Amino acid sequence: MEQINKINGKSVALSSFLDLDSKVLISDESVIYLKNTTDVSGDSEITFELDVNAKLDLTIFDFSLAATAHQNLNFNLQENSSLKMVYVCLNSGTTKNQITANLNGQQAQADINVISVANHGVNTEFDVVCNNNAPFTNGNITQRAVALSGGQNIFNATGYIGKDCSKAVNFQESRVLLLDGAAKGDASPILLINHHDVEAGHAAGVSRVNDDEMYYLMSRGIDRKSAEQLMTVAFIRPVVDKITDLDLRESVFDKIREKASYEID
Amino acid sequence: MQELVIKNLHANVEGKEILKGVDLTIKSGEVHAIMGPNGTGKSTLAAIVMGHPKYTVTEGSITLNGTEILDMEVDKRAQAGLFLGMQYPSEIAGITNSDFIRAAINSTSETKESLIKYIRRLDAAIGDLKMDSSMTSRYLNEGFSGGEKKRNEILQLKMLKPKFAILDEIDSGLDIDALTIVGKNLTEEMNERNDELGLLLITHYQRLLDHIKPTHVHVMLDGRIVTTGGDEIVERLEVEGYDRYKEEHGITDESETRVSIGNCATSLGVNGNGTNK
Repeated sequence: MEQINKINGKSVALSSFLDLDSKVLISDESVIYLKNTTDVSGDSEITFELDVNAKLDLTIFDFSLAATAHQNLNFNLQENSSLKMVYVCLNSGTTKNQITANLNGQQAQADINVISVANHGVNTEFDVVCNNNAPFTNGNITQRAVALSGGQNIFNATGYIGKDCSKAVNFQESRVLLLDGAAKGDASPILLINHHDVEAGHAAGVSRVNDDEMYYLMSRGIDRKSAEQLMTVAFIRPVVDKITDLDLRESVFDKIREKASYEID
Repeated sequence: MQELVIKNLHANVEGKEILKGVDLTIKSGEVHAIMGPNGTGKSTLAAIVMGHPKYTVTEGSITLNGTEILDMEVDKRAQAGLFLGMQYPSEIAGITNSDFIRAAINSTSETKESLIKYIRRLDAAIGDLKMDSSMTSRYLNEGFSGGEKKRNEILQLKMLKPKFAILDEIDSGLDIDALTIVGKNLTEEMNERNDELGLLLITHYQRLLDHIKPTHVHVMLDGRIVTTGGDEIVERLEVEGYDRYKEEHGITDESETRVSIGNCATSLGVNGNGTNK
């Protein structure tokens, strides 16, 4: 993993996915920021192996300008390892991403978060799978997207709890907010549970902007576009707030605002 | 001198006529109060002046300093200087109160206010309203008590400095102390901005009007303003209720109408049995 520079036990990376190795071994506490700004279409697959007791705090900014991008991200978690991931997808073309977390060791935990804004010409699909393959594992999937001006966003989430996995926890929530009639969205939840002594739950929803809330904002002089920007940021904020670095959070909000104010000429 | 003029206003909601010819002129420096029983169109009037898309105006005009506002969207009306303190303000998680108010100020005022000046002014207004200082960083109305929401409406009024403010049942949900604070703030706002602010209060109770003295009091019944006068009307209403006005204008209560439907149904049943006629 040459692109990642070690800084005081923390790792920092800024690179295109296509430049990355296909396997990344995480054996200690790592904080990784990954930025993808490539304009080259293509497929890529990266597998992160989290060793026993390893911790990974991963933030991915995907600003790909490519016409089509397919990414597979896999995470294999050993005993007592933990993953927190925030995937910020602000791509320009057609994206189909698959994220799979395998909680293979006891006490392994994964918190997988996806943010997406799909405006005109953007077609985004996320397939997120969290497999609890061991007892006492804890998986959480949170996906939020805003679609506007003909953009389309699809979220699929699958939670799986294996046969012998007592005390496993698996929750998922996928929500898409549509800002206008031309936007499209879908969210489908799947839960597969093979043990009785577990905690699991799912939520999925596609909704329009609440008319009363828009009226309230606009009744204070805020124009429709700015009100939609505020609503977009409000909708996505709970997930952005999971990004550890405060400056990065602000820059993500700026990018989201920019993308949410897209207008067709 | 500013002037908000409502002329012969008729309006429908879902095909039902709610306003049946309202005439009302408010000038800056004046405090108008509209009183009336439930369901007579007071809140509808407020929502229509602000531009709620649910209502259809079928006749009449509303002008602000001579400019027709009926064809303006709600945000344009706010930018022109109108403000509506809502009866049920929306709760929006994810937008902080402070960000919301700042966005509103930037939209409605021509000159851009510096962040430092804004924060000072916000802190002062929050102090005036005896609100908790955490109010700025909390999400817009989310989890606010009824009283906190109403104070938050007045906070916005103080920050946005509109030309005309309509306050729709701002006194509901307020305890006696909060009512005193709101009344005091409104009175001070009127005194400070005497030639630039006109108020229209929609209320059921005399109590609010003890704290902010109205210059004009209107009684609204069945989609019309039936009586206009000074604050002597308020005292008389507290004693006599609306019955006298209803009789004068030949208006029957909704509850009476309901009884007559019941009678109808009964007599139909009797006819159906063929025993009565």
